Amino acid sequence: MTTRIPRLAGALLVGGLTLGMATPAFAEDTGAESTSDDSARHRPCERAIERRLNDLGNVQVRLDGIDALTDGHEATIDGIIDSTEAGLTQLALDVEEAETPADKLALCLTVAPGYRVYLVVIPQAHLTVAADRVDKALGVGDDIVAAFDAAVEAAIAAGADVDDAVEHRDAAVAHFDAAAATNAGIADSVLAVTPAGYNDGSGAATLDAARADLRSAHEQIGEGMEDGRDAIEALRDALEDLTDD
Amino acid sequence: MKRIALLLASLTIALIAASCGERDGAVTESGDTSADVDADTDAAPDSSPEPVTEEASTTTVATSDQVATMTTSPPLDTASLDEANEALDAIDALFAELSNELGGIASDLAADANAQASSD
Repeated sequence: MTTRIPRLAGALLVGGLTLGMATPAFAEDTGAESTSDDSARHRPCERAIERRLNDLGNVQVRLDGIDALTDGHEATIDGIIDSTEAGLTQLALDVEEAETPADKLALCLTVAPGYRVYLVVIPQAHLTVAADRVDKALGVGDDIVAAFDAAVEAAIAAGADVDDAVEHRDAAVAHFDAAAATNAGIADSVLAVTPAGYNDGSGAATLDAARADLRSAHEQIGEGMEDGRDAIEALRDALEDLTDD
Repeated sequence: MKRIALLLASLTIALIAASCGERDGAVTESGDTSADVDADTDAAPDSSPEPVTEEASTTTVATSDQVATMTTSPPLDTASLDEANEALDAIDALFAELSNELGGIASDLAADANAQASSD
């Protein structure tokens, strides 16, 4: 009984690895398809490169329609995507021109770790856009606070009791300030990550920290928005009290 | 005896006459007093406390209400009120914009998660 368990576990492990290596995703991303035909061998590799180039193009199209993205960040992301596309395009040519199956396989095995399209480049675009959106949202939050303060001044002139409204307003500002502090520097840190940095672990940690911070900033803005709504409701109530008297 | 009777009779007449003279004087004095009262009465519409008090009371109550109203509820500053309401109305559009940006951030994070789910 004690010897059967390791054997069973070993069998399951080998079976699992075999199944895993046989999945389309693995074959597509590494080109490690078992065949003696050269063209068939590098075809999955070409598909993997083509899929990445298409997805990078889609990301660039998406970025063009986002107002929140700063010109500087857009230029940086465009540069990263352009260099990645250039590298993958050259890789596809190298694969095509490889003289031996071993050379082709070696080239194909660099598609994922050499460019990290899905774990670095595309996330860099999305996370940077998110960070810029946080900044834009906070700008709108500032506009809201300024407009609200003007409303409060007018309400005071009209004789309204604005204490409750101002209390909610201050809570909203505190949330917005917290979001701004959390978001500071996220875009720059994300854009500094490279595929090599991701492969050594530091880049992955940077991106994960950015995700956590962006979620926190998003939450803070949402809470600030709720406080802002409460502030407006309180001020409207105070103004209604004036007209009711 | 007859003289005594005459004397008594004359005394009685004298007493009666004296008594009547006092009554006339009292009437005269009373007439003077009435004249004084009439004079006071003529002045009463202007200085009589009772009607004056009624008029003063009415005036005082109305004035107090007005003063109280002035103290607790000054005239509503409708211009400032309108300004405050207009500023609040303008904020609604900003909230819509902020809500849109929040949705965009959530969308970006979802797109990032989808990218990670792809094999790399």
